[in-house]
Amino acid sequence: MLLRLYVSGQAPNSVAARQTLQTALREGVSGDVSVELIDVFEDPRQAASDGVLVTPTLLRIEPEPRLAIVGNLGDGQRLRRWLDLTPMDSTV
Amino acid sequence: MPTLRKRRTDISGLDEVTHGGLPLGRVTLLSGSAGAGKSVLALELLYRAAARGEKGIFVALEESPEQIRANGASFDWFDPESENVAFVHAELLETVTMDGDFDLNGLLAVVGAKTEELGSSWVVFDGLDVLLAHLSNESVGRREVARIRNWITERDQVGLLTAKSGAGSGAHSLPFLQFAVDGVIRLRHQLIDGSAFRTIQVSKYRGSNHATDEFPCVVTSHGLLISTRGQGELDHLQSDERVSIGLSELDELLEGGVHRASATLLSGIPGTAKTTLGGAFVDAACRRGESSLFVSFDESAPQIRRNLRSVGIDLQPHCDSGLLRMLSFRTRSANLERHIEEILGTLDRIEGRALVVDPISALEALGSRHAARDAATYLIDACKERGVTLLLTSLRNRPGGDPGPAAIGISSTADTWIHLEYLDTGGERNRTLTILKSRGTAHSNRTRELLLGKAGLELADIYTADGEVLLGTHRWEREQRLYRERAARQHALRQKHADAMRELRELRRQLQTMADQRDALEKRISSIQTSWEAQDEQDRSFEEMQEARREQQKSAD
Repeated sequence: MLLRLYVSGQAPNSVAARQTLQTALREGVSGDVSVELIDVFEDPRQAASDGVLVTPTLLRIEPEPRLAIVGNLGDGQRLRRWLDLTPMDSTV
Repeated sequence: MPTLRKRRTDISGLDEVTHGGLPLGRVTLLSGSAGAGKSVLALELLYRAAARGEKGIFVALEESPEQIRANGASFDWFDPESENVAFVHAELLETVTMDGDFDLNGLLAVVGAKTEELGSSWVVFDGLDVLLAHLSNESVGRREVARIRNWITERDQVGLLTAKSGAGSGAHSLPFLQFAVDGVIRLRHQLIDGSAFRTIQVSKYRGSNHATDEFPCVVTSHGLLISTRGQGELDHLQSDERVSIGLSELDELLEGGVHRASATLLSGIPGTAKTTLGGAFVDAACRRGESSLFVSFDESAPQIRRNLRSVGIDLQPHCDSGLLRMLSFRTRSANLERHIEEILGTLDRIEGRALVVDPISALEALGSRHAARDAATYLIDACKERGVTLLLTSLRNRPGGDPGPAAIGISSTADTWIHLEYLDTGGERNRTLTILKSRGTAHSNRTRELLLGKAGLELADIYTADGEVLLGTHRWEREQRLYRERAARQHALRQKHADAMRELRELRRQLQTMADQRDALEKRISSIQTSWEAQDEQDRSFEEMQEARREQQKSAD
């Protein structure tokens, strides 16, 4: 699974989203998950091409279809459900 | 504090209303209901700036850039080839999952990159209310608007936000947005009987003077046109030149005609020769060699020409030479805006110097009185800007009384107001003409008689003698009243006299009666006295007789 997290520097919501994602991944997810971290101010073109308007935004790039969560991910419950509900292909 | 730097808008009227344009490094909110024309105005601002070489970015938060561009395509300011305007598609997808607080840094980063790439100085965030609606509460909304504002200030942009008023109730409603920005321009749009009625108002402009009125505006293919009702009058070419109104006696009354580029309102009931005067007006303009336009509602051009010929005004040669263009509209064939647009478009094409609209009051049939007034006001402004001398006729159906209602509310905007009326005198019905107002002219305000003949129009003094007769009538009436009063007084005195005499007569009769009674009484008294004396005589005789008898007896004893 390929995730892409868009953040804006050290903005509080961005910092919170990054921590929540890291915690969720540490707690264990079946299969390999790689995360690309992109700062919108450093790479606005990439943000534009992914249609990212607000930060933080977490995109699932692979497998298709693309999915997105916007916001600081709160307590991570929704994120965990989202990751778990994602059908995993262990061979990826 | 640094002085406010402004950028021109080049939108007709808006630079006057904002006293010079929109501020740099600040945020201006365009608010209005759906369909009020916020997006199109924002787009026009960008393209007008682009035409001067100032670049701008349109951030489309509500519609796709394709839709926005399609909306712009019908306007003459739109340039599909322009490289000075860039679009950022920023519609938040419906499919995303919302989880927790977020900020607009992503958007600002994307727009920032575009700004640097283009070197732009204008930015429009179109449909901000849509984006704000996703935020959890008002304080988050404030924070994000402040973020956008800081971003605009830092990058020294002319910043524009558009947002629906009334929409996005609660946390994202307009009141909070108004306070978070530097300037607010409100657009209003109503449909009245199928006619668009628009107004624009600068309700806030921090650090700058501005007109606060609600100004009528119309959307034409030339873009938004704001009628500033004389706010920018100083900008209009103030001409001292006089032009003939087409009737020499009337020109004299106006000290040599009307001012060039002025507006004349000609009001009156049907049949008072409004159209004839309009015909004389364009005839005079064409004779001066000026390209002219005669617009009529619900009366065909040939019909008007035929009627005018009968009073000695022949417009046919001017039509043939191409100097005169006659447009006839069916009032209901289009809405107010379309009619005005068509008139001004034609005027521009023929580079007209004189315009007659007969009657402007026909526009009332298309909407409210309000809308017709605003359209007429707008037309007056547009003609002044173009240096076009304008004559508007206005129809009123009821004769007599106050001519005010005939002016469809533009009597204050028009420079000259002439009122035509019928006057019934001595079984005749005569047309009269009165100059009710003429700005900057020591005009005569006496009512004249307007004569129509085969030789044309003529103005005549209403006979002084008539005036005296009128005065005489008043005097006669007054005398009659005095006579009646005197007669009444005399009558009353006579009455009193008669009453007193009657009383006297009565009294005399009573006196006579009493005198008679007195006489009778005196007679009675006298007769009683007589009787009494006679009785005394008898009594005395008796006593003497008694005495004598007593004397006889004494002597007998």
